[in-house]
Amino acid sequence: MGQQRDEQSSDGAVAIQLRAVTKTFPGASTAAVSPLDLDVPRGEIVVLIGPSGCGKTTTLRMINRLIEPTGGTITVEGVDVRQQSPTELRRGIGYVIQQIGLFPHRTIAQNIATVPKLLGWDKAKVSARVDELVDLVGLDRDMLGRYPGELSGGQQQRVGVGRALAADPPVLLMDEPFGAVDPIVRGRLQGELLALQQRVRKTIVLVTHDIDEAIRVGDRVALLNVGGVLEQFGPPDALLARPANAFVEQFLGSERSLKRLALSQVRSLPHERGPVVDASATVDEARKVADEVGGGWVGVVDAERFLGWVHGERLEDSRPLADQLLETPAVQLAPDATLREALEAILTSRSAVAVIADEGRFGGVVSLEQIRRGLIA
Amino acid sequence: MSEQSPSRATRWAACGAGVLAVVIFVIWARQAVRGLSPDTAATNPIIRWEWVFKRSSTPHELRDLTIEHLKLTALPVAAGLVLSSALAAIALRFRWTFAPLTAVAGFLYTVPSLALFAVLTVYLSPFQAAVVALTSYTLLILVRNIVAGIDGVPESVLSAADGMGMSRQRRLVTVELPLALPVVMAGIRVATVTTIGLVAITGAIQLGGFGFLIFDGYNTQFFTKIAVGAILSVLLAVALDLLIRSVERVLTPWARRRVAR
Repeated sequence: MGQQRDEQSSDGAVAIQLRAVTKTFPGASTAAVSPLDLDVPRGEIVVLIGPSGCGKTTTLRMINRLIEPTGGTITVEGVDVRQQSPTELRRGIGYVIQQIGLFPHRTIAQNIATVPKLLGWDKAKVSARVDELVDLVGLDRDMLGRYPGELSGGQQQRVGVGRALAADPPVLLMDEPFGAVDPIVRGRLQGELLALQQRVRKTIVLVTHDIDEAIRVGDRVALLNVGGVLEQFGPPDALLARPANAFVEQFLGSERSLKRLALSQVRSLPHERGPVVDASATVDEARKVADEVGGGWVGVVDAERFLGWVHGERLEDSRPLADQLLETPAVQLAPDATLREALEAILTSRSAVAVIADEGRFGGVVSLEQIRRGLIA
Repeated sequence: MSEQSPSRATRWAACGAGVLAVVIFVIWARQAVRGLSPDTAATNPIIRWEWVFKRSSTPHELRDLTIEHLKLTALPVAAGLVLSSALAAIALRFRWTFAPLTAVAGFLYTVPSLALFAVLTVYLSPFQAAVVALTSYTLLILVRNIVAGIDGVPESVLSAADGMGMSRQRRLVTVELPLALPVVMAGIRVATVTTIGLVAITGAIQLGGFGFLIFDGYNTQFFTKIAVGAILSVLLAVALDLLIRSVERVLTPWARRRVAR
């Protein structure tokens, strides 16, 4: 097993622990999951991914005992899952499936209230919680009285997430949650999940077969091979930068570097002020900077603000720099923009560099060379 | 979805037109027999309206026959439902029993009704024999529909119910049975309509509801009785079908709303 831990979680707390977990289905000659060790840090999204037959869904369903493991132990928040009855255990773990599985004969409000009612909450508490969740997952309150059949696929999936979060479980299991919706809605729901996670900070185990989804939503990705063999486990960037073996490399695909671009933010690059001069500089000084960088483009900065570009060969000696700015717009990026966005900005700008602006304040520049070095590092 | 089933407005319009047609017909027929005595044979060679509208004992007889017909329908369907629920529960719990159970029910269904009534009257009173025989005919339809209804509950819904920590019993009562209801109700509807038709045959053992009129009319070569018995039997079947449909609509609001979209 090419298991590697690139980064310890910030507080080191493990919410879900799998130790030597195995599963062999009755009548099957080979194991669906061979001895598997996995630690899911608290408050993180861990994505289980792999080809068909890799046991990712089986592994997920063993956590809430929808499938009983053949061997090994699974603990959730330090408690062995076998110490509780399956129904008790499941009420404390959120569960979202691909087909959503909303109850067609119950209204949206009743669907969301399922687990709180199983737990015997009183009416007022349930209804307050339902209102809270509808707001949290971004649905209108006037949908509460409707039936699932009256909602779109994306809305139904939001209800599904709301229903899973109803009793505020610390752990959420999601089995290909966005597999049944079209790519546009899927992208939006992924974004919503990340935004939601910022607020609720649950421990989430998510199964998918979509590597882009895994990279986008996962804090860590566990790549499984057929028979439940863990090939690599780590942050998505670590997998993309240093695939443990040929299988991982092949599974991640040929565009690993391009995929990595979407993972890093501009602020992760070393700060580079770039070919800029102060507005008070002389024309000669600007020419000198232009010659040094070779491209001829020089940025003009005035008291932390990026004013625009001048070109070394088109400078006139008689006028101050600030009056000679070219009309070429400066492409500006926020520090939390991804490298992918930076690359796009660079490719479309004539000056071949993108300007970083943090709420208007000049924060350096990004060049193609910097991105390249960032990926190699 | 609106193409698949007529809209609410069309449905009400159809019902209204039907009721109106019956009312107009009755008014017309009463008009036609005014002034005739009960024993004239003048109004119509097929149906002698004066027998229906002038004969003083007719309303009383028809009322008794309606009650008998309803009893002979409701009792077997109710008994069949109870029995079928138990059999369906067995079939769902032990899958292998489903084929033999439906085979037995299917065999009962093929037994000629006249023969069954005749055999049962040897041991039972005519009324008991009729109820037992008619009950046996409902089993095939009801068992099959209850099992199909429960089987038809989507796997994803069951999976979600289990994943949220519902017990098996709770899942059955709050999820599976309500979702099976449309298919079960369809079974009850078919069983009811079939039974209404079969009740007429119990006329052979001096019962029969409206079937009594048919048998009596046949024996006395009085065609009016045959026609009245047949028409009332059909009307009763249509009425009960509509009644059960409306009960189903009230019980399954989610299905209606989905159609309404």
